[in-house]
Amino acid sequence: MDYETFLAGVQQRGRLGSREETAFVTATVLRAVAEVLPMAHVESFATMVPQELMVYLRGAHQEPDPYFDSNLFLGWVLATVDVTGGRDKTEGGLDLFVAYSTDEAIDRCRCVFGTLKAVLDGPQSELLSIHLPESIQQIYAES
Amino acid sequence: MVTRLDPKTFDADAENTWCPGCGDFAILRALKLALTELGIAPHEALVVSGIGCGSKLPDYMHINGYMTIHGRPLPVATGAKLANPDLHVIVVDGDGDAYGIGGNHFMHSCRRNPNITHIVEDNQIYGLTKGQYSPTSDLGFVTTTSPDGAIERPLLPVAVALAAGATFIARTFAGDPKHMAAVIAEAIKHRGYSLIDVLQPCVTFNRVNTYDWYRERVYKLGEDYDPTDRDSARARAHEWETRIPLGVIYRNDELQTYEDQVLPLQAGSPLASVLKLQKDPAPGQYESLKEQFL
Repeated sequence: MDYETFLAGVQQRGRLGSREETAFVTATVLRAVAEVLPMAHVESFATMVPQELMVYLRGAHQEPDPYFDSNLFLGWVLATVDVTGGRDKTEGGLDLFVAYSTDEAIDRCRCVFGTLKAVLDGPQSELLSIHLPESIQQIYAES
Repeated sequence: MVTRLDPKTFDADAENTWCPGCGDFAILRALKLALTELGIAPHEALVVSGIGCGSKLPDYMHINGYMTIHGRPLPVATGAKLANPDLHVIVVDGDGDAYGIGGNHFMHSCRRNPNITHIVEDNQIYGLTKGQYSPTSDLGFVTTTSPDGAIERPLLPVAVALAAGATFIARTFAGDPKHMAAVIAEAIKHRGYSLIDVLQPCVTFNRVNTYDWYRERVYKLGEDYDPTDRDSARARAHEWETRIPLGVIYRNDELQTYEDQVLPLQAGSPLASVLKLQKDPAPGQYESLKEQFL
């Protein structure tokens, strides 16, 4: 799959407005993936993932931080999502209004993961999945 | 019976209201890891916080906690340390709390050197109040209170701490929880005031200083770096825009702590006396204490 086809897949799955936004979302999710995928495994994706996107995966670390969890992973994606407001979930909490962008961030992960799964073979998809933080594995499985 | 400590020992039941993805989660986890590694049980430590998103942290830990008013956790923590020097006192607050509203206390804690660990969740913005620029916001940073961009130059907390006489100054990044836990543990072990400036994205209100932004700039100080060399520390303290050092930037383990120099504490702390009294009060001891302290 070439880069443009990959982006089209992400855009369609995420119903994203423009190619630019799609490229940005894709890059953001793959940068988060690079935080958890050991460098030793990165090149095994090179024959399946478009070269334009391998740039992001090649930002991986030799030894990923073992405490990098689902919140940190989502944080990479969340920082690019427009803020939406919602009621504070606590009773008598100090916040009258609190921002939630999580659903959008999860949707963004889903549309990139879904397209990635379409280009990866079974073993590579499994390899990627086992390195994702626990809650993100769930999102990946459902994508 | 000896109970083995585990990071889960510090888990609390309170519902967490931080935005998912917030760097505060990583800081909370790193603190639990550091305390576990050092074998410090919940009853042996006190976490004091100010006001702000990150200052909710004591609520999310099974530990002694005290949320103070805005900018004031350091004097409260100093008081707690004087009352019970055996307690590991840890202050957790944000950049607005520590360097803005509590800037005065920050500066004087540096020079006093109480044996307190100060973790500053530095996300360069006021998050709880929905996004106003803070003392560490960069020039030109657009927020609700700086719609044309911040016109004030940012405070460099490491440089200020160094100039004010802090004996342990470190910086870490919420995106590197393992590094953060190691730095926090090192700071707790230090006898004296220790500042840990934690670079932490606010995923909701700061769209500039993201994980990505920090990842491109941060680098870890190597083993050849000597944190006891004040001149090297001064050079590192001013590095910011394009390269940001992580690790222990400066340390001086030679100076006495504030409480070491308080003469009455050398005979035992007031709180320690009270606790002893509660266990086995002798006739007339309460009355004697009342006369002494009230």
